[in-house]
Amino acid sequence: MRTRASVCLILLLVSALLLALGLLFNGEQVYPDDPNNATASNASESALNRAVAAGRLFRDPSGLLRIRASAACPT
Amino acid sequence: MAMAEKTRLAGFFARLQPYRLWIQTAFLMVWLDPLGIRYHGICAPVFHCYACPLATFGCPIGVLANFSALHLIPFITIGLLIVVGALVGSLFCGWACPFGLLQDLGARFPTKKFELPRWTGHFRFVVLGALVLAIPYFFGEEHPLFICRVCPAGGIEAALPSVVSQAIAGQQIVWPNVLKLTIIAVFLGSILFIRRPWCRVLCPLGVIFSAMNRASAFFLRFEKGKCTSCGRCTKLCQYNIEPEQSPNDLRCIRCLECTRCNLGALTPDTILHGRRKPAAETVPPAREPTPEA
Repeated sequence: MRTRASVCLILLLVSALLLALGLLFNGEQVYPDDPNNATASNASESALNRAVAAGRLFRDPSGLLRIRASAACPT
Repeated sequence: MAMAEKTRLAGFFARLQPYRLWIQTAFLMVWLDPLGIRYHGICAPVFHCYACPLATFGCPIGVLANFSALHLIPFITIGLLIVVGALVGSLFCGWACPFGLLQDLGARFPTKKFELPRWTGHFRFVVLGALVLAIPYFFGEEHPLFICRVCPAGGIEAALPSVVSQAIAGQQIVWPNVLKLTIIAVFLGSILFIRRPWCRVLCPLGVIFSAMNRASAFFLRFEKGKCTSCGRCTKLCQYNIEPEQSPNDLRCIRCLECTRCNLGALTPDTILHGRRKPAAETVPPAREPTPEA
């Protein structure tokens, strides 16, 4: 029981850390084809730059990162 | 049959147990919001395609796959999945998942049910690792095995409603591709002959939650002293698990059917159990198991 409680507590702490990271980076955009989507602001700058270089993201005229339309959900 | 003394939590679930299907249906009203309120930026801890016209929330597996394709980390989604898994394990699979409800309804058809070998449950790790994480990461969302392209939930909840809406609007119908139609047909056929085939063999969300069954705050307690090894719990379990051997098994969806054992050897419990007194009163024994269809 004590082991279970310890592991559970560790998992909760890890999840709290992850949630805090997500909120710290100003939330995260979830889906590529949502109209207001695409800033992916939880990512590091270098990760975003790699995504731009690979053509998965682009910067709109206002400077916001957006996901290209062809990356829409394939469903 | 002697009355079994249970904790308040066990008594609570014993009362809910006969109404599990209705509880799943009530949750369906949450996931399918007819009022049109959409929170696609938030993931629900269930397997439900966000591209469904009525989907209230986003699909966590879709988020993981799409973020993997973008080489990004979805902190909030991963955090949410770990919170739910650490608190209740796979309880949502058995009581709240709309895709599980669909399979439970399919299982009600009076057809012969086939059992799956236990090792097939490990395919879920392959689906999670390959189709949700690796393929999107290395090949992007254009790959034909990208999870959303082969997901039966996407086909049934998004592609088919799209066809219907096109037909109703009098537009030219764009049918899903042959692979998608085949997956939908195989899935709909299989739920008539196998109980929860997707959940037990392929669900990448279920494997995340059930991997935390052994550590979750809510768990199934087995008391050996009360067990007479009659095998009733094994018969009650519809998913080929032996609850007395492994009450918090990796393949368990926590439907809690096994807790209908009147001896009270298997009870839902929490890690806080030791800090509180058991319920003063005894609860009525769970209803007798119905014979297999």
